Amino acid sequence: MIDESTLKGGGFLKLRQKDRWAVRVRVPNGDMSVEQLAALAALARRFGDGEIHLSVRQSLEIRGVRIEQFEEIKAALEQVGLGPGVCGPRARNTVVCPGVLTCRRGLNNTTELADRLTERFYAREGLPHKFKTAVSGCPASCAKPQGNDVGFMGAVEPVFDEVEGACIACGVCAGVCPTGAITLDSRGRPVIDLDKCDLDGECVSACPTGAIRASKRGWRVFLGGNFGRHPALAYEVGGVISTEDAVEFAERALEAFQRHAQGRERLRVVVDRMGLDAFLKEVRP
Amino acid sequence: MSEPIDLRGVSCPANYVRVRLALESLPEGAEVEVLLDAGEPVLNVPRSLKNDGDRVLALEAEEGHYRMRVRRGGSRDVW
Repeated sequence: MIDESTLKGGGFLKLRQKDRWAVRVRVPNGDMSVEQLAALAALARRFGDGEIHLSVRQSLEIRGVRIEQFEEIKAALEQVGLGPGVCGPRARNTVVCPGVLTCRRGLNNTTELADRLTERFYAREGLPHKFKTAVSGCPASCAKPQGNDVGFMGAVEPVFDEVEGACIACGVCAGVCPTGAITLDSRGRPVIDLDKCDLDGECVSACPTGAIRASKRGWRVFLGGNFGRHPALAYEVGGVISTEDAVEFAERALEAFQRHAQGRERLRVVVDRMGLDAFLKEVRP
Repeated sequence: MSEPIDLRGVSCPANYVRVRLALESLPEGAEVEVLLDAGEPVLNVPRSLKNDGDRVLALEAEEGHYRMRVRRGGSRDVW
């Protein structure tokens, strides 16, 4: 029989069908090797109903298993470097886009930050409610950082550097900027207004000669987003921070959430009751 | 330099592929001239070439399009 401590860890969901469960499998960063996929397929055939479900948050679920089989499935997953996902009032898996490693738009290493967040608090228990995180490599926001309790978005601050690259006055930077932050001077050279810049790095990537380069690369920070019954986009808390600081921010936000939630509340409810500034004082004293 | 490669009316990414193929048929350091439409083509093709290690030497607006001169970079694994 399955023991209580295993059940507490979560990672399985009761299905509508009598005595049938789904086992949620975490897919780190949404990446799996073909060996892992083949092993998962074999497990689904052996223990499940022959189908694998793709969740909306980058997990895979083997459906139709019996709860007594959970330990055996877990052990088999671990043999190929996989493990159960989480559900319930815990720190959930970090949803992440491919980021700079493969995506042409990516501005920062999303999977590195996601791994660090995972290492720090993935599956942490004893929370007032679920706690979701997401990391997106650029403002296209494919991983929806604004729709998570804490989200990060890759950001690049541009600088026009006359010494390093020879500007050929082509005007591509001004043409590519979606926020109108770049104007051209009388010689056709860019003048960048950082107040209008949304740090998407478009000019840096489009500049054919490298005369515009990144002066800073990091993360924009989002707090208190969620969907559910009362959808709310996150507050952007300002600045561009490093990967180290992003991990610290997320951890402190999680701890402040635990300290201040009254009963079963999502982070957003806590932030709105306290006020954003007051909550942020708890996060970065 | 020979006639420019006229890519007016050719959309992304086919225009980039045409330039890439033209450069691949030439030795390192060779230059080609290309006509590119304004809008997406001129915003995308130069950045892809830069990413491949080629060097955009000039890019000038003409009526309704751009004239680009690009020099083929060193050997690399593009394809």
